[in-house]
Amino acid sequence: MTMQLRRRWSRWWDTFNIYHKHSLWGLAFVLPGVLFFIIFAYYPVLRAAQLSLTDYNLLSPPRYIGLGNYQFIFQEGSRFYKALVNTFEFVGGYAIPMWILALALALIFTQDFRGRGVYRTLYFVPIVLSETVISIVWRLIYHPQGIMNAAVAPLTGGVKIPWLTDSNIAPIALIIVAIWRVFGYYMIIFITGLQNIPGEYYDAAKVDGANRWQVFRFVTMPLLRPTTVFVVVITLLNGFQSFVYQFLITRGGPNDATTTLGYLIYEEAFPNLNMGRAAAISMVLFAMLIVLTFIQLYLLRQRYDT
Amino acid sequence: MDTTQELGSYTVGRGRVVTGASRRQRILSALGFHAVMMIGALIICVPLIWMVSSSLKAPNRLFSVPIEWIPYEFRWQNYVEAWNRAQFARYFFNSIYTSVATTLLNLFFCSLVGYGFAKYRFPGRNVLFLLILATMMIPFHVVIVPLFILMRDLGWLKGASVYNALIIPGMMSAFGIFLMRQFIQTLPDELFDAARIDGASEIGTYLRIVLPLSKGPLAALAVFIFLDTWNSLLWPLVLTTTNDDYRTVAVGLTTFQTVHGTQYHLMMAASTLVAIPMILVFFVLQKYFIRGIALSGLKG
Repeated sequence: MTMQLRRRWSRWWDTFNIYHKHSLWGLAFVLPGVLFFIIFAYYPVLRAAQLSLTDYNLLSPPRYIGLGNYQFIFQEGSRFYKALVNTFEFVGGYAIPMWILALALALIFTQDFRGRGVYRTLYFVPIVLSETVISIVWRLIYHPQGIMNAAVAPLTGGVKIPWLTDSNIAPIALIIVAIWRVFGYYMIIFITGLQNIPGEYYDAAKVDGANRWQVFRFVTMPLLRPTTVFVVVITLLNGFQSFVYQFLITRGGPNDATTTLGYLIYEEAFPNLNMGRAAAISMVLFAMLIVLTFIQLYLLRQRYDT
Repeated sequence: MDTTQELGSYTVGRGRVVTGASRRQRILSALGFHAVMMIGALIICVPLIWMVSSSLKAPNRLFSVPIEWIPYEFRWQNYVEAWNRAQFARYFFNSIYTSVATTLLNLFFCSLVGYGFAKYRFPGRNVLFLLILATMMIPFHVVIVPLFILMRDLGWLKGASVYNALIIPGMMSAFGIFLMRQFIQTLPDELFDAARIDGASEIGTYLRIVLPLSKGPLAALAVFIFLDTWNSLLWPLVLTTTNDDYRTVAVGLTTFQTVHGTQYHLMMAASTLVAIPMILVFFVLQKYFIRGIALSGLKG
């Protein structure tokens, strides 16, 4: 054990000596980055963990209350549970259709056709606008007398759908906005991924007489896996943190139907000044996202290997 | 990836058409295809068209039936009125200032740190790089409360020092460092050796070799960071709840909505004012933007 340690140390020292000057420059270049992330990422995470054990309203000093905040949020029927369920519904409802749409469009856009660039640009425009602007515009669109109801009137026979005031419909309304804004972005990522697949694979599949579905299933899907992993991880991470639509379009309502974890953390922390409780919820969110990411990476890697 | 060139001079279905398919069938399938694509494009654009159209209407014509796509009468004064109801000039200044500063800081630091990781060997390099990369996993919601308290303790919530709080926590991005490192790694080592033989200092190599050769990824990163900062809402919202003078356009628009929420014609005018610069930036820098996205997807 000590031998091993000593050997490791001497190897470290050798590397250090050989590259002495060079090493110091490298360290100097990366040092601002390391310090920055310690101060603005690692320290706040630890501080959040600590705050989650306190009762703190920013005005009087934090008071240690043990697991009190966690007990509070895990009470039966708490807003936290409701927000948790809403968050999963939002993420599932937005991510899965969005992946399918983005991938399908990417497959179309890697073919040649007239006007490809124009369509691609148009499909991409919403991502440029901020979620803020988009939320405000969609509030008007979802107005009972707005154009959304005019558009669905032939299907509903003129019955006005209360898009934002019905607790069953409002979550769907937000999902539509979320998909509408970002699918163009992930479409571009899928297009890049598809373009990076070497053409020889397709030629080989054609020689073997594969049909279109088989090409997609056994050539495109496996070779697109790195891109897919990236898209899945990023969309889920973003989805679980969704805040702006819930804040600007519905204010978490009606009746907490669109209160997601991202919105609840904001509400507890800033208008309500329950810093400790907000920190506790954020720690649960963090733990969930870490577990989720590892599960995804594990599953996706495993299937890749076989 | 190019965006506008090589737009096919081909027709749809090329290579897919079964031999013997008549010309008429091919034209029909092309028509059907374009019809679907155009409906898609329309669904995408209608909300934006509606925003501009509503911004020019009189309040009593907003919900007129049948739908008025082109306003009955163009009410340009909506824009004047919206502009005067809040400090939009200040909001724009604040947004431009914080976005430009954040972007420049990111370009400098991400390329510097990325260069350190890409072309130098030192003990602990991989650990430190992973340490930075791992922060991409930290949700902003986790750090927002402690960061806010940190800003308060530093005295950055009062007066003009709010700019520090708006800019400094975003002055580097793990993604940017990753992007720059990946790119700089592909630059040939001989280039750096040659520069050293010619007596260039380490900083000189960074300034005269790394920066000029990284223009492409730097441009992509710039577009990315700029839009991200311009569009961000949660952090500036929290910092300027009681400080109207330092609100960015996103926050200004949010508070405008709380105050004038039902006056949709003014809301739409304000939204259009905020959206136009973004759309212009996008169309001018589209190439870099799309390249940035493409780069971001390559890391998987």
